[in-house]
Amino acid sequence: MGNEEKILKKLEKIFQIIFDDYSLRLSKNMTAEDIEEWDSLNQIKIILACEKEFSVKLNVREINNFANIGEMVTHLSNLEANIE
Amino acid sequence: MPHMEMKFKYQMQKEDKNKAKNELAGYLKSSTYLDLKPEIAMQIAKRLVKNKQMLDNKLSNIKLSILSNFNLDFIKESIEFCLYQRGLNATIITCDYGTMITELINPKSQNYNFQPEYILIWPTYRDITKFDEGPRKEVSFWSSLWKISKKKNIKIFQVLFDKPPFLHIKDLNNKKNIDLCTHISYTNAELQKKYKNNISFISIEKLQIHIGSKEWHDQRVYNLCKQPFSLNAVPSISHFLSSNIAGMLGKYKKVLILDLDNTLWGGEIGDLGVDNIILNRETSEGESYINFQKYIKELHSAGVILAVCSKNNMRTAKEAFSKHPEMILKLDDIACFVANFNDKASNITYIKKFLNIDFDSFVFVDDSRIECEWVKNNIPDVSVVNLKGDPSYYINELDRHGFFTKEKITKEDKNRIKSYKAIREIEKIKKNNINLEAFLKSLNPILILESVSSFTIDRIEQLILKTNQFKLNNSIYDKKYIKNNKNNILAFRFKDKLNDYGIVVVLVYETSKEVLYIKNWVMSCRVFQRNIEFAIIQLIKKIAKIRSCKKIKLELVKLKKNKVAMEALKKMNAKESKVSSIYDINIDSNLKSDLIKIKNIKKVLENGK
Repeated sequence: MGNEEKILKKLEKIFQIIFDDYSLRLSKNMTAEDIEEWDSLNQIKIILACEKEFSVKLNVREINNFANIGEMVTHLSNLEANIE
Repeated sequence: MPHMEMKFKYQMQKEDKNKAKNELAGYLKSSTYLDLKPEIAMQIAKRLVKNKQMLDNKLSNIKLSILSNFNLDFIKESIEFCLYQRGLNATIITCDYGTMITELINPKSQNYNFQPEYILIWPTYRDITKFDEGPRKEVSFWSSLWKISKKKNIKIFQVLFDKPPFLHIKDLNNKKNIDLCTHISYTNAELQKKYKNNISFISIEKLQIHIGSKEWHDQRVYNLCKQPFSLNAVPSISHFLSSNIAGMLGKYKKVLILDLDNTLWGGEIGDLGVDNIILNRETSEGESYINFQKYIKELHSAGVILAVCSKNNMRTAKEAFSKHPEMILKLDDIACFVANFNDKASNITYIKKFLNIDFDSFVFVDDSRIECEWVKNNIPDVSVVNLKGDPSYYINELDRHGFFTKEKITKEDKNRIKSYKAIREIEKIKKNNINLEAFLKSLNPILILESVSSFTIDRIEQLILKTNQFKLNNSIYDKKYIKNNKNNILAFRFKDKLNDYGIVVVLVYETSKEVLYIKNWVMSCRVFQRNIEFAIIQLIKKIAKIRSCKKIKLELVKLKKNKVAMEALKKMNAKESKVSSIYDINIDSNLKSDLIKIKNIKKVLENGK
């Protein structure tokens, strides 16, 4: 599994917990429109959970500008690479 | 085969849903919310709120409005979950960010439209408004916000202020020359002192200290979403608030059941002998157990009933209490002492019968994981605390649950403990075949008829509401009814040599031309086996005759828990009439010659003439 796939899997787990839905599947071209409950408050939960899971600090403004999950995964992957 | 695939996917989802529901039930029953990872805690809380309607519950419903100036969206569901675990099915509304004050002072606000029974007002140090003018002005500002709620008879829970995160700012604006922390301390103390009789206060500073300022004040989270604390703190805060609210609404635990070996002292007394158990001030382990006992003793003096449930033989187990010089707990403190080699679930069932208290008021502590699991699985309503590791932390292990938090310790609480002593005496005598009747008489029991007044009305209403075992049917009567029909309400206080038990019997009746009809009759379980019911039915017969009634009737409905009443009425020769659940009592029969005397009945016997 490539690094981005790993991150996507982890992200999926985070989403499943936040939206309490184990059948939720993430793909790179998904957007906030695809998940009914994805509002600004859940967005904050996602950000905080990612920070915890990936041990990074995220810039909220940047994240709000992402077009889809794929961009978020790439961003997280770049951040992780920088740490290592 | 696209069709097949779709079907398969649907089934998976259904399975997922069932799994999720079972998981939720498991979390509700046996988890400590505090021990869950914060994200899981919030996930499960969300699931409860979503699935509540589908769950089968017998909990009390409450309507709660939570008002604050910060964002409550993340914590709301968690509070709902914790309340649910403590027996309260709450419907909660919160106010929008920054609207706390207007919600309180506008009688047509969203809050008052919701018609809550309870309001939780939750300000923070940011909401301090009279820092310049001093604590007295602060107090009068905050107390003025209660006016409308008081008028509408809404009960108020007021969260006291927390402390700010600043280490070095000493606000220069303040003319009184005290810093913000001190201003807050004074304000909190003054609020409590002045209004403790009307308002329920929650001292949240204790929690702030406990979880630490770093989690309590999370500036980043505040900037992101206007929630002042971190997400990690959500479980602790919701648990703390809910324990306080549950305690104030009477959902505190009443009984603490204690294991002995490695719980109250170190080592096994059966092997070591009373002289060698670890309970001393010379070793750290020994001191831990002494401190744990001291904590339990404090709970006991605050009204918690203690019981022992131990795998030992009775004589050896009791020896520690009677002979060991360092024992803080004494035999007299234990309302029910069980030591044998039966399984603990059966023993706890025995304790329940003996004390006449429901399982959901029980907390069981034991160092053995197996015993704890056994009890959890067999009696899920009992709260179980598995004490593990270093006994130095036992106090914290028990304390953090907030099981015994209640608003006030009343005289009733202290009396309750005494009345179990009397039950114990009676049980002893029964076992030893001593003449029970003679013993009961030697206690000099007496009933006193109390009139309905502002001093007694709360207790009368409460007794009718709370009684489960000795009651005829489910009819309840509110204060208005009680006041308007005070001539047809008999409330009895019971006293003996050992104790004044307070008002323990209430009987509601009415008379028509020929019939005295007992609408309901309740009696507290603390005074069972004292033959009180016979004295009272004799009095009823007298009243019936004086009011020229020829018959006594009552409605007796078989309920889940009122077996005691059913049996008592059998003993009084109550006969079911043609109408089902309506019983007749023979007005002329005499049951016992030697009845408890009743004082104060002159008036009620004159009344009907």
